[in-house]
Amino acid sequence: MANTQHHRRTSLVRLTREALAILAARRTVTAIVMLIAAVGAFIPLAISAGAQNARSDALTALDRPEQRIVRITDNEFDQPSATLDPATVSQLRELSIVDNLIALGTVQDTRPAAGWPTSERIPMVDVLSVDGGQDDPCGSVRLPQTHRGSTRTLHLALEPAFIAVVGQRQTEAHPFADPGLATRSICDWTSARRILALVDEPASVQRLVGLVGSFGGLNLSVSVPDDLEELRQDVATGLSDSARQLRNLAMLGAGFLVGATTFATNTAQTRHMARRRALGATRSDVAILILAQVGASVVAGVLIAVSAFTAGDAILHYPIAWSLVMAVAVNIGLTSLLASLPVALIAANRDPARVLRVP
Amino acid sequence: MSPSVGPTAEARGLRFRFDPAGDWLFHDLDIEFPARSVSAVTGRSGSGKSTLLNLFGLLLSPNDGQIKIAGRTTETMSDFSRSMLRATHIGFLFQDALLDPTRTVFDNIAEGALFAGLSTRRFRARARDLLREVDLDTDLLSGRLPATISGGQAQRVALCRALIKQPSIVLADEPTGNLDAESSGIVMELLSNAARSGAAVIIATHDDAVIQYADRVVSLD
Repeated sequence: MANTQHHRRTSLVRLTREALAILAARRTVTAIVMLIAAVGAFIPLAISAGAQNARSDALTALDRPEQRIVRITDNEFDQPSATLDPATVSQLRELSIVDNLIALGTVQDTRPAAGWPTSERIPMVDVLSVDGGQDDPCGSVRLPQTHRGSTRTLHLALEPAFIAVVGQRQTEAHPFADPGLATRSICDWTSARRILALVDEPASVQRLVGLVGSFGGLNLSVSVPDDLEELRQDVATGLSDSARQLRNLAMLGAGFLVGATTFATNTAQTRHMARRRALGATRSDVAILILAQVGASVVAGVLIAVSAFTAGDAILHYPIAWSLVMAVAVNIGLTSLLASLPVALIAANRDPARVLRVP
Repeated sequence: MSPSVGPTAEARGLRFRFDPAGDWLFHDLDIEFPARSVSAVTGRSGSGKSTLLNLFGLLLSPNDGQIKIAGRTTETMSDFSRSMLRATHIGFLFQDALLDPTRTVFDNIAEGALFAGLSTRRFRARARDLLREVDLDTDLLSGRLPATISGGQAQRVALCRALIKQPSIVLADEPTGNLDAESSGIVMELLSNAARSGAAVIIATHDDAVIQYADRVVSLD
């Protein structure tokens, strides 16, 4: 007798098993999709690792002790305050901060630091001078100017481990300043003082500030030059943004390549899908069969990529962020499934009678 | 042949045309196919033999009229229900076997059971029985790919795929069209056996040798 008992929907597990069997049978296509997924997963991981390494290298380079510049400014001296005793101002103008340090006996060696030029415009001064402008301390105008200053560089031997070099700059000229504006300025630009300290660790800054602050009569502010900090930020965010864009591009590309491969494969399999419909497959069965094949291939490909990446980590010491690995896997999987969804829907809704009529 | 017992598939007032503005292929067609019988549907090319099979196979829907399969009216069924009915009650046999060339013989047969929801254990046992029944060496053939067997053997495998779910209706579209006389005879014997087991076997053909196996002949000319 004809069977009338097993009128039920094919389970998802059996459909998935069937999809895996189809994958195993169509090795070439499966290998292609797996390869695309593997490459698509490996590239973002490699990009991320590379970017992280580059970022780390760049930040380390920027964070070298000789580049950790601290600017300590005597604000009151730059901009004389009405509350400051004129005698003190006069005295301070005669004694530079570094001279004070020397007077205190903290500086034992006043030779230029090794590798630093004795002439003007040492690199750290350049760093601070490239902005092409500085707020007029008198608040009247913003003067376009470039500092050219003489800089004294010397070792501080008191704590050689934490203070490598101290430089003091005195501005001598403002070549690009409007002579008229400069004349009208009530400030004495040549007396502007600040010291630039290159230190090997942040804690040293506070010790130096404490030392300078002990002179009295100074109103000090401490800052890391903005351009250096901005550069650090730019490097960090720039590399991260570029890596993210490349990563997304690679994952998107992989997803669409998987979709294209699925399209090509299923276009060639039109009659077999129609046969399955004739054998009783529902539209959703057909769609699930296709998507399960895509999903399984992509998962296998991503696993290969992660394995290769992990092996690379053991050899090349890539930094692996497992959250990123998971994100890449999920992203490629979803993109591939989304790209394959139209293919699955087209196949599911194709008229089997029409397809089977064509020999 | 065994005597026919009640209609397993029947159509009343069936109207169908492919083009809404074209001629009717079937106009008020009343037809029935009893269980335990082999029916041959004959007619010239373009008379609608394959279309009639597709209508009874629920791959096409009539423009008007009623089709009943195993006592169930189908015109108001959703595509899902039609697929379910097809999966459990209808077996298709195509002219070119239409086996999946990348899957083994055994997998091809199993596909017939997959969508019917048969348990793996059940279909494996039945697949072996069917392979023996169609005179195919189970051990030799089950693991082989379709490309390594003859056309006659492939058609017998396709028949196993159609029969594995013990359908109420077997729809065969020119099943011997690509076969030699000997293979044709084997396939027709097997279809006759299916009818004896209780199925309504409907064969679209213009082959006189096939018609000889039929209990009844329906001409669409």
